[in-house]
Amino acid sequence: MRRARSPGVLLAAAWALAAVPVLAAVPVLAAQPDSSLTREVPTPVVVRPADWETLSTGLPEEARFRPIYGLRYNRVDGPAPTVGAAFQTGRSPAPVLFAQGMYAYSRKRPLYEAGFTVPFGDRPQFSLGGVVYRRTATEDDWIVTPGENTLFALVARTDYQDDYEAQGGRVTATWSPGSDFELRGGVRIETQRSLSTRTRISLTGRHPVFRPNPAIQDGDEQALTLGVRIGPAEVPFRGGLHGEAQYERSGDPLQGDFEYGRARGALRYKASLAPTRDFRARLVAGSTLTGTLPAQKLWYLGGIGTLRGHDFKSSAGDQFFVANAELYQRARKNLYVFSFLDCGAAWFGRDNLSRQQPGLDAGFGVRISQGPAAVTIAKNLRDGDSKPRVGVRLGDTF
Amino acid sequence: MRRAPGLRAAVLVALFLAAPAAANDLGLFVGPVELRGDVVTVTYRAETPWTPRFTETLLRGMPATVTYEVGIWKKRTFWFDKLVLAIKSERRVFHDPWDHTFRVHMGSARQKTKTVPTMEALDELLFGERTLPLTPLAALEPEGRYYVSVRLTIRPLTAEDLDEVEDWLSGEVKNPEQPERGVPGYLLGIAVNVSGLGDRTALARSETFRPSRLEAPDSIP
Repeated sequence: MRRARSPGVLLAAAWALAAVPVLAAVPVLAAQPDSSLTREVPTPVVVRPADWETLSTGLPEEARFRPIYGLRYNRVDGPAPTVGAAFQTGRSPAPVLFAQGMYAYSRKRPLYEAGFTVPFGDRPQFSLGGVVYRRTATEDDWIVTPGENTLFALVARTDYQDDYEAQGGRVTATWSPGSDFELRGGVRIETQRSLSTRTRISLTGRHPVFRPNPAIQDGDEQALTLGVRIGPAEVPFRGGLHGEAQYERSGDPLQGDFEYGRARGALRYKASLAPTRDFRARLVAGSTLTGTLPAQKLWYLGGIGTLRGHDFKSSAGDQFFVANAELYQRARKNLYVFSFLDCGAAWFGRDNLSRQQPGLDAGFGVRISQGPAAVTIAKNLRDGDSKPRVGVRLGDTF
Repeated sequence: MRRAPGLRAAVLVALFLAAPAAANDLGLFVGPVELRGDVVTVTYRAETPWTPRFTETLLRGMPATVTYEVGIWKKRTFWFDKLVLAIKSERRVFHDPWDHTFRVHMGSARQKTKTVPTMEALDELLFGERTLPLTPLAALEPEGRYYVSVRLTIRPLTAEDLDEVEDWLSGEVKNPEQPERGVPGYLLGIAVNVSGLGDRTALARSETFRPSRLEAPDSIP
């Protein structure tokens, strides 16, 4: 390696070291372990054909470090800060390796989650993943996201999700021949136990305490899962179609305390009807095909995210469907007015669909931009005496 | 008698694992990593990039994009390899049916255009053996273990290409305020993949090398 040793360079380097010793010492000494009074000559420029460009963003195959940090707040954990790390490539949505730790302050319980994904092949059509965890679990993620739930719990003493603790692990095999299709199967083995409300702290709130967290049927679950996705993982901003379905078989042929088989599917559609007009629709349905669902696996409808003219979680069942349609019209820049129609029912018994009179709600709302916040007024169309219900969303509807 | 679920699972996994074996169906080879002067170079070529469908769609006037992504990686034991250098070359190919030539726009900004008269010349230009200067030798740790990866991607038809064709056919000037028309993007993506017009890609790696032991090719004194 060639080194410049002219007197001028030596003087300049000596002055720099004397003037700002702390700042100058680290890079100079690090680059030149044999002498602090020399500097490296710039490496020669490589001349390539003009169509080659350097990628400052790297290559998709590169596993990049990504810190994980966050804060969740709910009535069973209280504040639960999360810290962790992940290594992720650009060729797969799942991290290659990740580990994160949480601490649920109000119930004084450390929580953790760590896992891996091994992609096979250059275009990773097939991947194998595993994860172990002790976490606060919920079946209500499809109604309200954890982030939105945290905001409501912190600000309005309202916790929409019912939680339980799950400790165990799962192994998943995924086959994805293209970005718009994914088939996955897996095994989940975990112990589930009830959690109780542990905090009452919130900025404001209509009630002095959080609502109780319902007890679950404690036990060990061993389940086989099979899932499919058609369409992109997220509905694109400009519009598109996304469909997914999952089947869970708990118990036979595996062991465990629960015995059921249930399927759940969701279809989401978004279209731009005109430059200032959008249409969104969603259909979610679930059915228990065999066995009996434990309490924590029941489906609930009513209120936010489902039937907006009904009370929150006003109906429950081991069968359900809900359809939502929204028509948006841009009123001003970043302000949309929209009307919506909700229809759905939850009930027990697979053969009882014909006996249901699905709830039907309609209303209108105002949304800021495409997602951050919305206010809705909804009316139960089946009940003429019902009062209009005002709802607030701090995220996308669906 | 119930069959063991483990056996069925093993057969299923074996079937899944069998698919990636033919991943490099473009015949992409990454040749020796050598030292030319003070610069580390790599040689690569693609031997079987053409398919009847690719040739047919190109000759019908559909554009295609050929992209090479080259990286130098430093091997790390029990950890993810470190990417040292990443470079990319993108070439867009059109067939001109009037004079039966091929136009190749080079670079992502299409700043340079080359015209080649025949399919053979196009094959040589896009997929023939090339020696690419990568990085000065001094930029690598002399005793580090490195390898070079080359990814070749051929995109016979993209949504952007289809938009261009649609615009050309309709004589329209694209207005971003207009709503999306024609085939929705998500349906196009599914259709392109199902029809076999989707991306074809291959990744190949060089042998592992130590910079201190790199040698000049025989032809260079």
